[in-house]
Amino acid sequence: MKTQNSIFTLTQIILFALSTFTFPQNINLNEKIKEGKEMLHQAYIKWDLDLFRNANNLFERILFTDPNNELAQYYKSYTEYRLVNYGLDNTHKKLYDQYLNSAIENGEKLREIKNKKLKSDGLVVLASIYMMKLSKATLEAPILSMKVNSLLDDAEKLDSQNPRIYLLKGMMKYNTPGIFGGSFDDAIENLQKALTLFEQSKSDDLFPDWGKAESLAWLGLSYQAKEDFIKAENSFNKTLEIEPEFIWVKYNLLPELQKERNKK
Amino acid sequence: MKGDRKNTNVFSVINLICVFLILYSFFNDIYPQNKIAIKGITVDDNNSPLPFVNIFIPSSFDGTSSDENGKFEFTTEKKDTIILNASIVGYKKFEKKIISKNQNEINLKIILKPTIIELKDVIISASSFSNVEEKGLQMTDMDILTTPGGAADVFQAIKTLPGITQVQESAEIYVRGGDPDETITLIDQASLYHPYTLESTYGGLFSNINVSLIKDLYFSSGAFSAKYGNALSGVLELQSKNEPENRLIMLGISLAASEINISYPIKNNFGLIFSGRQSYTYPIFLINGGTNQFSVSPASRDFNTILSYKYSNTGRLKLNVLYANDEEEVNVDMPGYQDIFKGNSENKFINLHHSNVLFNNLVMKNSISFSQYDSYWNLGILNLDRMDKNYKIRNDFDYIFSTEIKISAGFEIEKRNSTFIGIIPSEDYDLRKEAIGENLDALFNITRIGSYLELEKIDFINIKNLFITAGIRNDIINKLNLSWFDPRINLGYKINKENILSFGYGIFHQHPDPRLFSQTDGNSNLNSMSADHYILSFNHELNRNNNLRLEFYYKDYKNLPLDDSLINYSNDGYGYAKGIDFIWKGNYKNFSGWISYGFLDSKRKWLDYENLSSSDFDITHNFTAVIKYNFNLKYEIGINYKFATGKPMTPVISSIYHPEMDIYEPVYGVDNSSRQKNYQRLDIRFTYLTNLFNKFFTVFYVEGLNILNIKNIFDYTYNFNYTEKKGIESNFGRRLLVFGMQINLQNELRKK
Repeated sequence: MKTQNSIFTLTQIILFALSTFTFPQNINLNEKIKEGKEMLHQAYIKWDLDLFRNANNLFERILFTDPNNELAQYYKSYTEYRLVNYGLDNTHKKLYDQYLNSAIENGEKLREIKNKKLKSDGLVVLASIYMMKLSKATLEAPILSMKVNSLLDDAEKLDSQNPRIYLLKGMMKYNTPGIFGGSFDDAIENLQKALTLFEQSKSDDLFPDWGKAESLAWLGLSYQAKEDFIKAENSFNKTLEIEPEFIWVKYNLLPELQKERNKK
Repeated sequence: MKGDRKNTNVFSVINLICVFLILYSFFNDIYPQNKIAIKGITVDDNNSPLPFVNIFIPSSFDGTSSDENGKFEFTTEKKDTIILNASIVGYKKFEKKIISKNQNEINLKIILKPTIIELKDVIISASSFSNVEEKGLQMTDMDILTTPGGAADVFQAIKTLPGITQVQESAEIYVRGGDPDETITLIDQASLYHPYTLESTYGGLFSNINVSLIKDLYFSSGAFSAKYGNALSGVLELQSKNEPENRLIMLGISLAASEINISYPIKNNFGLIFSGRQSYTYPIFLINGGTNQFSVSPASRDFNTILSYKYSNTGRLKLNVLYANDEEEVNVDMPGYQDIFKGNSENKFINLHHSNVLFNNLVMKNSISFSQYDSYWNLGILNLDRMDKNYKIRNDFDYIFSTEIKISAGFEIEKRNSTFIGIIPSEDYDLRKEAIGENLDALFNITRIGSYLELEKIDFINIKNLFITAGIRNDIINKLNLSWFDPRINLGYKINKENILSFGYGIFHQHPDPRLFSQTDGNSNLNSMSADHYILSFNHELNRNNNLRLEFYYKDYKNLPLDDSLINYSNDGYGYAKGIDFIWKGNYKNFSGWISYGFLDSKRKWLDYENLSSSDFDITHNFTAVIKYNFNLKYEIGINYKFATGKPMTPVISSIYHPEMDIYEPVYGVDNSSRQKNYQRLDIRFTYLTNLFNKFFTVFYVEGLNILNIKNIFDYTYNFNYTEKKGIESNFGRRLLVFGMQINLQNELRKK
């Protein structure tokens, strides 16, 4: 009886102790990073500026708590890249000016990441930021173009299986004028390689895994530029299969493709 | 047994307490009694709501973003002291300690201050052009580099703008009826008084400023800010490039010049830019004809080095060193004889420039500079050595009170020594070697102290989109007993996104040519010259890529030096310049360029012009069309067509023979009562862009200058007795074919 009571009491004490930890006061940073990562994904698919900004704030808070958190540094820079990207649209021009310097400054810190795979992705993000600067540059364009390509080469040396390297290379080949080495065929080659690597890679809760839908969208654009409208449409449709609410493809690229096809 | 019952009772109490505590902690987590609500609003220092501010408690994840109205609300664990943070890019981080004690709710107004305050809008002044968007109608470095016939020269490109009259083929800028001395050139706050190569009686041909070293450019043809003084007509302000981020070598070679530009980052935030150019005109004339014009074909060289060091986030030190020299020997036809004009010059310039931002909203720029220009002219009896030394210290301060108000102030001390030594002809019609000459040994020393104060206000008198720039300037030249105050004002109204109306007014003073103060044949009591500017300007943005500007202006010149039989020179001279300027600039599909037109009516009574008559720079109609067409980004063709009314000239109506000297003296008719033939010129340029060896960005070009081979006359020469006249064309005015290439060798230096 005495023993039973002791056991019962001990159990209650343990339960009591656990109850104070069931709803923990400690913050699980990884959970917050996952939350931010998902917010970013939704922001990109829906092209939602508010979500981008909220994600930016969330990663800032994480970094305040843990300034050396490499994942948070990576995602903060990635978010700033997307905000600069958003600012390419004339109606949000101020965003470009507001975030570009901060994006470059924070992006440069990604070179210090110790985790090799994450560093490879960090260099891809940094290259993306310089690509945004390149899109508004005139005389600086050849130099920035070299900078972007050099960063992607370094990223490849660190992790040759990183699909986002080839996504960026494909985007560069698509957007670079022919006289500077651009080529739609090369864009297609790089984007197809990116997609092959996406198929082989596993998605991860924490580490970067963005870019598959984007690769398909750019592949569609590349086919469209070569007037291969059937392949272009296939690519856009595949994008919507994996991301049915991808605003860019659904309300922009596909309708534009139909218009162009009707003209021909 | 009794003991067992006692033990059971104790355990029961403990059990009850534990159950109670478990239930308490469980329900407390779901329905917390120890939470506090934090709510409020985030605003900037103008009390405007700031959305998307990150408000949070560090070390916890309690926080939120402010909404579109700046409002926020969240809960956090109750503590005696809470540290609250707020941040958003472009603003200083906010931190506040809150004592919460027994409160359940805290209401806050968070005011965030910008990290560097800037005016919320950029004020565009009348008559301004800049490569910095919104500082004026845009004139980019690409425009300068690709203007056909412009030889990638800053001054030649500016000459295609309205209000700049085509008086010569030279690079000198004649602004709205004013001569080139009425326009000042500044580079990083330092004055550059001789920015041209091959200065001769026809003016400098090109500038010795390499456009590849220029970061920002600002040009105004009237009603400019109080920051600029001692100039009656215009200002060209250049900012040189900062430390390079990447290693770059550019090599250029053409029929007329060769060039090397090197950008070299030495360390983080410290780098060097070097430019070296050598121009040689002999190959052009060999291929195109015309070598007989020269005994020594004009040649020049310039070397420019910039060392730039960014020592902090906002602080930068820059050293700019320029050296240039040139020479030419031109065969000259004079009435009844021929001779060779020999000219050479040397230009040295050094400027130490510093800039920094103090206290977040005080921008400070300082410069200390020295320049020396030496030139030698020889033609017959004329044998003249000239030296100009210039020392200058300049400080500028911009204090940004808020996003609507900026106050600027500054001062400069400039000392200019000019010496003229040699022999000049007694009579300007007789330059023969055996002519009578006068010895000249003149030294002019002028120290000018200038200061200014200026206010820029957006939403002036609380009227939205009404902006004003108002300033006052004072200059003192003790030695000449000159002192003046110049008020300047620019008032503008942004009617809507596409349309801006502005009005500019200002008084502009400038001291006359120092030679006129000479004790022997001048007047040491001369006063300063002045011009009152009135400008009405209308800017219309057709779309993002196309802009129009229409301007009406009137310049009232007063106190100009005038020949006087008693005192050599008086200040009784006067004049005016009035006109209309128009420019369309933009692009459409594959076309880009600009069309400018200026109408000018300019008259002066000054120097030896006894009556009010057309000024030497009264070019009634000026029309320029620069149009470029781009084929698939590889090929580009461009044209530059210019038309200008003929330059005023004073006709020779007869002559008087002087038997003692065996020479005829021309007798002139009414001042500037006649005009030369209208000026016309068409230049064409083909450009081919490629990536040599798939690595090096390269430009090939072929240019046809004056492709229609129109004989443009700038002056006349006569036979011995002035009964026959012959037009003098510009040495570079014939049809010329020039070709060249430019290759960029890039090598990125990665940041570690």
